[in-house]
Amino acid sequence: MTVDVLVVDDNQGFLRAVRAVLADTFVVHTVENGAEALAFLDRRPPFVDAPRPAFVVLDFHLPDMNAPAVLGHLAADAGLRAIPVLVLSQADWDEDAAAARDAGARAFQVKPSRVHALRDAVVAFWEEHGHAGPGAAGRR
Amino acid sequence: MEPQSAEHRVARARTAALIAAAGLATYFAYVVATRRIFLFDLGRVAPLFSGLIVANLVLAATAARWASYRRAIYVFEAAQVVACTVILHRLGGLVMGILFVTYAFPIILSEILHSDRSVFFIANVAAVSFAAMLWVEHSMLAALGIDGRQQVAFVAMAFAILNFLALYADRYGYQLRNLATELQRKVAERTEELTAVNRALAEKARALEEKQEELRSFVYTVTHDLKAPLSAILLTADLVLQRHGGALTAEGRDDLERIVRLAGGTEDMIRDLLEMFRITSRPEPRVAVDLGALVAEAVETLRPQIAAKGAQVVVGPLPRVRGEQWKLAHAISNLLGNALKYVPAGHGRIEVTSGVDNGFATLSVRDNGIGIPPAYQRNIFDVFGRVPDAEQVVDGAAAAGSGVGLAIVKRVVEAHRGSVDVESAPGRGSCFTLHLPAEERA
Repeated sequence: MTVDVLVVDDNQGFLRAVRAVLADTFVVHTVENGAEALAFLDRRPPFVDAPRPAFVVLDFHLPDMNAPAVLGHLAADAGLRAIPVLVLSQADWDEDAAAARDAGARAFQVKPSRVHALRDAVVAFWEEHGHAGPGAAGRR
Repeated sequence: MEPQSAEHRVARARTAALIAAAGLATYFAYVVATRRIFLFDLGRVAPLFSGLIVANLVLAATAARWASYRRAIYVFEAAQVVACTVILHRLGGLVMGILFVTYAFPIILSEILHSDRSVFFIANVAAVSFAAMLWVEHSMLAALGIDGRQQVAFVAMAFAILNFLALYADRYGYQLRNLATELQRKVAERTEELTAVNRALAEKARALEEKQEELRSFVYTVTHDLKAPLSAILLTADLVLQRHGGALTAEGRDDLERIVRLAGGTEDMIRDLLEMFRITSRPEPRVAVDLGALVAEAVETLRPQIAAKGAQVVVGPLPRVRGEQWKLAHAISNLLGNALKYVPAGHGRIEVTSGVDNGFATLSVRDNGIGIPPAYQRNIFDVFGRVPDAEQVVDGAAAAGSGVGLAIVKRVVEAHRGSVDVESAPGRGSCFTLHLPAEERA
């Protein structure tokens, strides 16, 4: 059984590393900005055949919008609202954490910069929040 | 004549009418009290007195309606003066010479009521009434031995005295009014100045807020832009190490590990720098802060590390200060965390005490750790200022840290107009002391 995860981050180095780190555990899809993330989730071109991800790993700062804006779009869509979202940021600013949580993020944390820490953080998030999500429901 | 509001004029008219009523009542009371001594015929003056008193009370109650009708007031006042003269005549006339003094009241009241030359009008109405009274009484006065020339002299004196009284009242009132106008002008001037200062302050505060916001957004951006690639470098290097470490030569592995270590150190520095900015730039109200509660909270948070090191923490009674609670909590937590880091495992001891020093409340955190070589005691409060690893070995390993914790402490206490100092010797422990204004006002 595969679990699709969408990782949204504007740093290609991070995306490359995250694909390598998570490939053993998840099917990793990556996009580089908020607009692409929303297109992917809505299955709009060029993502018409995209799978519905079981959860999303979202960078707080994207070139076109920040995480709360992306989460706002998700919350407005009944089909996407339930997808668990882990927001990662470079800094643990209280106001960013609060904004992300208020917008519907299940968790907010500083982006780990070690392989093990990153894998552990994502897997732990999936284990805690994944089974309540629509991806998990689909697998049952 | 200063411009005056309708409200002010009504208040003055009411005051004048009430004083007139009170004066007449007192005059009447005196007459009643002395009726046996001077053989006054009360029946002839009582209706006049009560009529005048009632008229003045009615006027006081209705001041708002008539205060602006100047001429009507003149006529009424003149009528009052004439009525007073009739009273004087009925009480004995010139023979009751002392009662002449009662003319002073309408003149003063006229000054209160109009504040213009009407005082002279009223003074002369009084003098003319007095003259008329003497003319009525002249045959009786002659019978008493006061001849015509003396009667004329009395009238002349009455004119002179009453006009001087009017002059005095007018000048005195003029000065009072000038003083009031001057005061009003000064108050208006001062109010304007204060308003301008307030406006300037508000503008400055706004500019400062904007600057702060600008700085915040700058630090935020720099942090993100610096940290993002660094974190990608770290992840990538770590990935290579994890995946292909085995295929590398020992030297290659070492180099890669060094990259991870150096990049990790730099990332920690950026993180701590950001933390310092986050703590010191946050706007916070000044409140009464219980240092004891802050220390207890910090000790509670550090409980796992304290237990791991087997350290003993002793906290004495601590004062309250006025300050920014959240920032002071960080400063105290940094001092305790630092002390804990440098005490040896197993027999570390940290003591938190307080005192008073020259109007400052002090809070000292004393440890029995490795101490600080004198050469570094000055720069440990600078950002990234720390003792080189080789000189801060605790239990066989260099204590970790990027050197921002004490910089935060210094910035926080200095923002409270306080200070921090250290007393330490290598191998003899350290004692950091915060000096905070005991009762600082917000």
